[in-house]
Amino acid sequence: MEQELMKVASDLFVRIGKTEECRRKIDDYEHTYQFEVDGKPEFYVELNRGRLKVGSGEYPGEYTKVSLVKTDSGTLRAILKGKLRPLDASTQGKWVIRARNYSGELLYTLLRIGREMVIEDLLAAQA
Amino acid sequence: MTEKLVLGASLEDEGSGAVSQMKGVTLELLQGARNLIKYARIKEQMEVAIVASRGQDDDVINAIVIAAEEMGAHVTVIRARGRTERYDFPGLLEDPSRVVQKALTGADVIIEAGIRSMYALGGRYMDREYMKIARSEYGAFLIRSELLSKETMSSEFGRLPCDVVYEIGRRVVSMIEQGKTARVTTALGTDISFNLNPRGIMGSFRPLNMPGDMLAIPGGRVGLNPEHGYGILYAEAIAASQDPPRVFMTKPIKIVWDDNWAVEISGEGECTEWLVQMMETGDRNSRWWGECMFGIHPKSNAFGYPSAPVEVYFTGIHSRPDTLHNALGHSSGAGGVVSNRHIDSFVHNQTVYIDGDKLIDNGHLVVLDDPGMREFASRYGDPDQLLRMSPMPEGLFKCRRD
Repeated sequence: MEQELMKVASDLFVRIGKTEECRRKIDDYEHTYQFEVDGKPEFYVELNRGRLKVGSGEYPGEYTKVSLVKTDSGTLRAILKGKLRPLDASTQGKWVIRARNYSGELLYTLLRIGREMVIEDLLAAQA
Repeated sequence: MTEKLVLGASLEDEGSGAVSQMKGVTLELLQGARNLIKYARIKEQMEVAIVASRGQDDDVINAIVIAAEEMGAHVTVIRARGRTERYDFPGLLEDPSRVVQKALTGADVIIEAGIRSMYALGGRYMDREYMKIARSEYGAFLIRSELLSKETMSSEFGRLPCDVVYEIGRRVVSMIEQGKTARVTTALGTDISFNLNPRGIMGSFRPLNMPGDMLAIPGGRVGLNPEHGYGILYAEAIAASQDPPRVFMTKPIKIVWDDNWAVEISGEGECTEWLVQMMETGDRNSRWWGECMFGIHPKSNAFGYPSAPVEVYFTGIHSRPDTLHNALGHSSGAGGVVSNRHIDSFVHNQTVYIDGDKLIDNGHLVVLDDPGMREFASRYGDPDQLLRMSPMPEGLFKCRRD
């Protein structure tokens, strides 16, 4: 995965983590999403009781609280740029979550928050 | 049931409307509602949307509102059309209104507290786009309240702490997870078997999990995705939610399974012709054996029978350990087979074997006798009382074979 895409992902998740809605949603939970992009464990998003952290590579912590997200770099880029909804990517088979603890829905929520921010950025840039 | 009014129910300072609406909220009713709210994990500042059906008992909805507001939640009640109105207006059979669909995205917790107030006929509303958006993209918990009437909410079924049900579920699931095969028999002649897949266990026997999760409360059911199932099922009843011509039949429907496929549907049951028709008008997976599920809630019963709507009292029946149902069509949980049909047919007083060991013996859930289970229940009261089932009301399961 390209460094530039990694930065886009990291920046967006960090911004998501700073929103009030995200903090409220993840307040009670400890969970990690490991992203496997083009077949490699590229980065992870760790939720820890209201805080969100992004790390590169493979998550080093307890595996029982990790859900695996499998996708390709083109799909990930489209999602991070607000051009594709993860739910649609999932329907198309381009986005697969092996979710533990019924955690799949929360990731969609975080990415919806991200998409709204990206769209706002685009509208602001156009203005 | 004693009719103790809740302290503070006569809220004169809130106007006459509040007083008249709240006068029937008894302590037992509020305890049932508090149980629901506790296990729905509602807490301060959460946005709670209660979707009720028009014509439903106000006291039931008011009790939920009170219990949620006690926790500091911000509660909105939405009255949608219920099933009864759909019978009167057969054109109105599909999704809830766009207003309701949009409103759901603003909720942290959606409580479906009505009689099919969010049901889309012929489809599973959990799979509908509006519900996916609310649950997935907005992280709303979906709680299906099974406390649909005053009698149910104030009963022991409504008030038993769900922790007890979850412990029963944990023990039942542990036994299933270690097994390879299951077999179900009944006195009427049912003898079906299938392979077990530990990933194919679903139902309402566990606590609510992360945002977007959904759960029926009180629930108390464990379901399995049969694999390579075979044998003969003599179905005695059809789930009321499927609108069969008759729920409890006097003669059974014979369903022959071969490798998870219903190769024969026959017999003199009053719903046989209807069921065959449902298969013919369904999609290509209609005859798939999508689910085998049984109740585990010791306090579940047909509350309201026979005066309440059949859907109200049937909800209690399918959490009883002495009933088991098998679905034709859509595969619940991790089954993976999609169909536009999911028709549950019931047997009762079944015996369920896991690798030859009895899990349910003629309708009695063996786990309820387990010393560890009794010790756990004793934390909440007298285990003899908490874990003892009431008999099924007379006149429900009445099938006979000639």
